[in-house]
Amino acid sequence: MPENTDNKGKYLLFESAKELLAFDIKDVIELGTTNYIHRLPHKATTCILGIANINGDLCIILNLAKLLNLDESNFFVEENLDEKKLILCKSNSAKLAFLIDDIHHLSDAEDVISDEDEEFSAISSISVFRVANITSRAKSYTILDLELLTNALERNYL
Amino acid sequence: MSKLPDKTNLQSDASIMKLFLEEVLTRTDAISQLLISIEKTPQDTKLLNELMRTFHSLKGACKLVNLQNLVDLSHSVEEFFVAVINHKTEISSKALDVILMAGDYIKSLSKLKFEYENKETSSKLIELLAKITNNEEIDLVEPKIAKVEPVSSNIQDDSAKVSYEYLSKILSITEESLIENKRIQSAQEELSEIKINTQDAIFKLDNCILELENLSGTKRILETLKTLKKGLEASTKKLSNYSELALEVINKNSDLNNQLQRQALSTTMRPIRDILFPLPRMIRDLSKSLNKKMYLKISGESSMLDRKFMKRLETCIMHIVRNSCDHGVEKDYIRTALGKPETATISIEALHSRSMFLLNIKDDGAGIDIERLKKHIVAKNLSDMQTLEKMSDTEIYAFLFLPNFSMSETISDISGRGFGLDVVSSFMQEIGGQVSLSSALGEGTTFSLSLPITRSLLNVLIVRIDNQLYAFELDKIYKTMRVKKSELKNQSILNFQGKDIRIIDTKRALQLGKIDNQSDFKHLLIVELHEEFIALEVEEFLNEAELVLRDADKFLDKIPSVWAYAIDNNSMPIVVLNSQAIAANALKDNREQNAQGANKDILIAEDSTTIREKVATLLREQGYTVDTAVDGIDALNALKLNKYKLLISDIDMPRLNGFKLVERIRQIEYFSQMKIILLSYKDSESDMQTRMKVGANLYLTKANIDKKIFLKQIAKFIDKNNQ
Repeated sequence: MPENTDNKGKYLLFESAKELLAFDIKDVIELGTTNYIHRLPHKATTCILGIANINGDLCIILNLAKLLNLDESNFFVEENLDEKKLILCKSNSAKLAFLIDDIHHLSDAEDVISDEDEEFSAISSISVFRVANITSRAKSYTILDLELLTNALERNYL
Repeated sequence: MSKLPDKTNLQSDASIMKLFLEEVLTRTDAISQLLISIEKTPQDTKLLNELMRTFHSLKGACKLVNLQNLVDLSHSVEEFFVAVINHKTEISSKALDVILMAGDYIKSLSKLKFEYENKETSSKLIELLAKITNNEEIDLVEPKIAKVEPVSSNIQDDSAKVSYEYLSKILSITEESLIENKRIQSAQEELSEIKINTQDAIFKLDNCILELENLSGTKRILETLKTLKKGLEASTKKLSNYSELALEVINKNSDLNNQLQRQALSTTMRPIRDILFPLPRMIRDLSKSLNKKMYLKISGESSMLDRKFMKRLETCIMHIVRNSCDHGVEKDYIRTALGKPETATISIEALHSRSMFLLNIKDDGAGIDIERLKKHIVAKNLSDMQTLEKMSDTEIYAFLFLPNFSMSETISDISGRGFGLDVVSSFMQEIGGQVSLSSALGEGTTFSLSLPITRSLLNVLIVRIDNQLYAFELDKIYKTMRVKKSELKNQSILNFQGKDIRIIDTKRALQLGKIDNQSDFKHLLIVELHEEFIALEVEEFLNEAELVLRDADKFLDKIPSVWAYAIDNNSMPIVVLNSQAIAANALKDNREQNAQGANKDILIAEDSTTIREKVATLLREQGYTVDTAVDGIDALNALKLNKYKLLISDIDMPRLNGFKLVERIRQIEYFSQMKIILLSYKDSESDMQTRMKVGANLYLTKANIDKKIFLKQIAKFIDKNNQ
């Protein structure tokens, strides 16, 4: 990833299970891929896919689609693992790697951010993790709150 | 409480303040130990002089940072010891109490970086010191002079003069280097093989040349072949030289790496003494508060242990010792009537055995009345008498380690809540250790803790489960067996050493599916748990290996049944399993293991970390299962994935306040039965009305919360008995 000296207001825009999502670039450490994930005991059916060796460090790999309670029929982990992407983030002094479908691009200066409240929906949990929406290149991405995702992970899966 | 007038001076030189804080901690710890010793030998001039000098040095240090009140306090203690040395006064038990208080007070202030102090406290202490110096009577019961905080060692897991993390990293690199060296070794072996193959090629070439020499018209071919042979011979010679050189370097490197690894490993170890030193003081304080005479005997305090385990092991030792003092040791008059020495002995013995660190904590008290324990187990509906009669003593004692299990009829500040031994058991299981208990009625009780000396380098057996690599620590495996399925009468029972033992499908126990074993054999690891054997079935035994364990982050540390993580020579992750935990979990009906999505008691929504954690701790101490959320949105998210009986929510929270949260919850039918308590700093009429409107069941103002009423109200909302 090109070094960016001014990350204020920059977002990494990506896609997972056909949802357009975004992380604040300040939370992202690096992007990568993996061809092997070691499953973990008691967690095989959860959003915790396992651990992988990312540049010499063992990282916990998460199925973001599952953590967000998205339609799983749109995201098959086992299929073409090599082609999937990893977004490595740092949250609460721990590293988390989210397995996703594709990285789109970094947000541009002219992209519009809308942080109006959305109605809470008991069906889609994206709304609970949502910070705001960003419209970039005519597409709307949901900006996710990494701290809330981490809290949900700890509370429900660890 | 008032701020010191010279606070700005203290902050003006941070490096001096840092040094001063370090000095105060070191000196107050030393004072505490010296005072315990002087109580036994009050005439020891050497000790008296040392105490006087220590307070004198402390006085000098306080003067340097302009802490005049503490200069005066240290001076008063120094004057007392001068009077003792000059035989003008004597060291009484009360005098020692005052001096211990003075030491504790200074230490407690250091924890606040001397930013605040209670002038009244130092003045009262100085006043008391003047009285004991002048042989006047003092009354210690009345005014509470200084709040004596629980004494604990100053061990911290990630900070020292040299950071533990840094040392671990060095250790990890040296150990990796050792393993890398083994890789070069196999490359060198390949090199030797190429050399042999080349020599073989030269030999075959020689034969061809011989045969060609007998034929006519082959002169040019022969010349070419001979040139080729010369070239090959030169290459072989070089290959041979490099192979020898590589071997030499490998051997030398291996030696250096071994030395480096041993040195690096030793820097991560600490003597157990570091966490045992507060115990004599604790025993002294407990002797006084429980009115029992007790003596502490420690042996093997130089035994080294991984620094990483120290802080939590200290907590475990404290729990056990407090338990022994409070419940194990009899009152003096009972001991005398029983013909026992009036002073009870609590002994702590530390030693190394193979790669384990063993700690035995023994008291010569009343021992455990196993019949009373059985009745207690039955009364708590944990088992019936018929089943208990069939159990061994060890199995029955295991109930004492269950959460919320206590035989004590009263709860004191010291013990009796039923959480201490559970904490010990959980910690030992987490780090791959074991705790056991033996007791004889009227003779005493012994707790035996066994834990790994270090968590850095491990000899393991690598196995295959669920087509992935897993490892088991070799020291934890009693035996490996390859058993013909046809020889087993029951596929889940193995006759081992004349006894039927359970075979556990490890894959199933780890919730990874079920072993699909098409072969004629079962691969079994025999492990020992609470003096019983259990067989863990895996898919295949692969090889033994030495693994360098990786520091796992906090999320990976929470995965059940896993002891550690490593990366193998092919850069693949390996999960090191905790065989004892797997066996224990498979044997008991582990409700907690399936906590995901399960019913829980309480969710606390609060944006202040301090309040959130304080309330959560208080409720967890009462045995409730508690989750926390950082604001209203986070709470809604938690409610979606779990079922709670009670929500305790703050009102002023970012993103979604308490009122809006309750409003949204009450709109959803699913949450209609959930009880809700709203907490706020406000106590306004309008807030009360809003509370009523949104549908909270109770509204409390934080400023006026009475702990007892709060807990009573929660108990009312969550009727534990009706679960």
